[in-house]
Amino acid sequence: MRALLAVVERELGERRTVFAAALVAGLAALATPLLPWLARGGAREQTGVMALTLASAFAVGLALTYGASMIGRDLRERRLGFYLARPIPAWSLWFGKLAAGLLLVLGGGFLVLLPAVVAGAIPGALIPRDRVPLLAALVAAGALSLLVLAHAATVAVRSRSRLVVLDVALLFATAGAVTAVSRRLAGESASAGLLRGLSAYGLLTLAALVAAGWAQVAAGRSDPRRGHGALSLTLWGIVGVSTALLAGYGWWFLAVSPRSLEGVFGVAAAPCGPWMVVSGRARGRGDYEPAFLLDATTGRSVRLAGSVTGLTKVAFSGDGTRAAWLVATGGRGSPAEVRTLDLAAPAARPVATTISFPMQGAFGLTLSADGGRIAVREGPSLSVYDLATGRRLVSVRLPGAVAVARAWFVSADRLRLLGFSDPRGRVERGDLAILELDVPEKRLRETGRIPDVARSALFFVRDGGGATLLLRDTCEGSTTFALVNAVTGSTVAALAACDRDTACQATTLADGRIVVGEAGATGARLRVFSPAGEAERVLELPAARTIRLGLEPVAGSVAVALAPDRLADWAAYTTLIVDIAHGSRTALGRAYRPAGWYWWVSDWRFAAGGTAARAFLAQDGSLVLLDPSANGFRTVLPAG
Amino acid sequence: MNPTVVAFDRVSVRYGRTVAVDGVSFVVPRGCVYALLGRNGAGKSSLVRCLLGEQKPALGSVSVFGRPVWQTRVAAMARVGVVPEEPDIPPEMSAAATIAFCARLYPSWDGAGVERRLDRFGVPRTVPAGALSKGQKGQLALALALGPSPDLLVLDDPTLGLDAVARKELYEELVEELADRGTTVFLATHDLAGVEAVADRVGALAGGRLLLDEDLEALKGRFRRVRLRSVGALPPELARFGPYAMRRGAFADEAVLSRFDDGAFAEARDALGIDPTDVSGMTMEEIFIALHDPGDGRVP
Repeated sequence: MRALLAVVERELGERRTVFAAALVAGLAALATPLLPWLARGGAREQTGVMALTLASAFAVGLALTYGASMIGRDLRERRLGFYLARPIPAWSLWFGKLAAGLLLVLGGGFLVLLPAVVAGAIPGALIPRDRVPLLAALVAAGALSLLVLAHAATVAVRSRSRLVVLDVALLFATAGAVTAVSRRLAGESASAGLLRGLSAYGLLTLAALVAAGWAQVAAGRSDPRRGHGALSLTLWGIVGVSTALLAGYGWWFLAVSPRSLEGVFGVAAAPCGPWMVVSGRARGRGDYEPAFLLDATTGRSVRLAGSVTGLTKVAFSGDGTRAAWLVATGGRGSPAEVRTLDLAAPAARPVATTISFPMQGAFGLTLSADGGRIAVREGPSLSVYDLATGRRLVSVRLPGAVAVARAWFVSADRLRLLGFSDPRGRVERGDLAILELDVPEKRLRETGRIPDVARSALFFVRDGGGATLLLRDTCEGSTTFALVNAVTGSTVAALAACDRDTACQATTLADGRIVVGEAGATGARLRVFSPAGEAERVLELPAARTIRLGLEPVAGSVAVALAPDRLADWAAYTTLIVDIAHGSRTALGRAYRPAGWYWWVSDWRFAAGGTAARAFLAQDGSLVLLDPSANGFRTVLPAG
Repeated sequence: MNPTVVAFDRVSVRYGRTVAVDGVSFVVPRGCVYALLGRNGAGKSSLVRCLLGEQKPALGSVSVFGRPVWQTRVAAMARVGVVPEEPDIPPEMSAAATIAFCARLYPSWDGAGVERRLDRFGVPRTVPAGALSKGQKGQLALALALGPSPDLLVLDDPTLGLDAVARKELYEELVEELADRGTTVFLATHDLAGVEAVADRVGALAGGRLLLDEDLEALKGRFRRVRLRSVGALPPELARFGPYAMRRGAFADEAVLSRFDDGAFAEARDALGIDPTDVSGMTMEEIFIALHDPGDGRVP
């Protein structure tokens, strides 16, 4: 320790003029407001920004020059013997010089800032007080990184050894490996996991650089080539292991199954059949929320690797035999590729298609009823492909003023679109254009218009035949439900209206009937309408202030969740199955919510008693399936 | 009991494909002043670096105080003083700062002795080392080397670049120091005249190989220059005296005998027709030159 302190003191003494220079630079920053071209703006802010800029430049420049010279200069001038011929351990020499470098860089940077701080020119907005410890740690780590990087580079170059070629090759190989792992994790939107992995990797690399510097001094001593060899061996040894660990971490991170989920956040189910998309936070993986196609009957699952479509945008065919989603093929701005899975084949794997496009705007996928065709919306373009061959059947450019909100196949040859006439989304309400694409004719035409609809309106496209649309519109807090003609946009029937104090939701049954649920000060009830929008009956429910509707778990019944409070937590909900014909209610228990949370974006009508309709999420995040015969639940995915 | 302070054991040093030192072995006993002689590039500095634990030999090992110095450098250097070939004191450090730095590193430090020495040679304390004269740098380096009262003093060509006066002062200082302390000295140099006054034992390096390793007096005792009257081939009677080198002159040939023995040679001298005045002793410098330059050919 005595030797280390002696080295630190010597280095600081040798470079003490650095502190004076830093102070002069800091004082110079106070004169920033006098600069004529910076006349506008607050003088204090200008001074603060100038002081921060100067401090950064000063610290970076000093770190690089000191790092390059702290051992390299002594080696070059053959002065390292001054230390080695004395009882100074290699670690004292290396860490003494390194510590002195850190003190110089951090102290110098601080002295540049000091006059501005004293003058109150560094407002909290520039450096928030609660971030100071984190910033200080980052600055110290950054300074240390620059010091050891500059040292390693100098030692490598000055050794004039052929090992430099190997260093460069390993540098590129390592960068390539790290980039590959990072892109893979970034492609899965695993930002927290990526940050955690890269942070740990960065720390290990920094430790490797520090250890390599020590090895260079300890094993190389006054022999530059031997020192370079020791440095490279240590550096690349640790970096190699770290890179392997990072690759392993990346593999482990993405090696998740539905059973890795802490709980299921959301479910988007196929209109029929056992398949659904489930998503949730994976255990021990930060904010990573992988999505899986899951067969709720057999438990078979396929992870939607690299999916950029999210939970709600996985497209299912109307017959539930095919799913399609988008996968990012590279980083930001790179094309996305359509992948499909044959849900009917027992061991099918995801299939890459030749359908890809640059993701530059809003996008969406729609499958036809039999899954043979797919419509791809990307920005202002709409294309329909034959999935079997990958052949593009038609591609049209949407009218300039129309931003597509929904699209669905009415038949294999006809695609219907709903779009707002305000593509930039600047107005809250506007006309909703109804367009129809004739695939064989390659012709797009506007068939109708629904006037004055909220941009946030929901459209329940529950009629596969395409005759009607269930429109949920909100205006100034009140909500209305209407059945509209899906071709012309004309109103077929006004179904219900709820004021701002009444919660209301709607769902449709497999036979086309519509159920609107209301919960408010006047009680809770279900209003049942025929497929043509005629009121059939009203079923009173227990008092509640919030209501959530599910699908049709048993033919002729609807799942209903009620809570006594508008802002109630799910734990407060009571879930029932209400027989539409008789109004009888079967309690399912507390805190079960219909899992088809996203059923309203489905293009298809859901089968009565199907898997989607019987799926519920328990309070702990377990995914369960209702068994109507036993009036109980079977756990499909237990919460972690 | 005269234990070994320094031991080189089959030491080889390589720089890439260049062999700087090739299988050198010798020892330096305690209290000995060992002079390692060699021309520039002979490998002296490489051996010094190995001795100081600054460089690892490609083959072989170097022990200092009975322990391998590469592994025990720090412990060894606490007992070693070093005067390097080129002054390596950081140029911006003054003598005072350098002394203060060094004094903290050793278990004991003869501060008064260092000051005395610097006073004697008029080395200023506050002037940066880079601004000192070569002689002052050398004296400062010697003062620093002697500061911890070392058991072993290593001097790597300490008189390189010094004028005659500075060289003399440095050796006088050394002799005084040796007289006081009995310190073991390892001196790598090509200053043969200076060495002769202080060395007990010498080694000579050439092309990385050790040509000799011997007590100085014994060395000087067995080397003689003999002027031969008969111009031509070397008389066969001289073969047992280890003729080492021959130089042919216009009027006489000269032979260097490396196994000269007074008694035996007196018997043979008459038969050879050599006058006693034709036999002369050799200085260290002459021996060194003969070793490196056999003249018209090394005699087998």
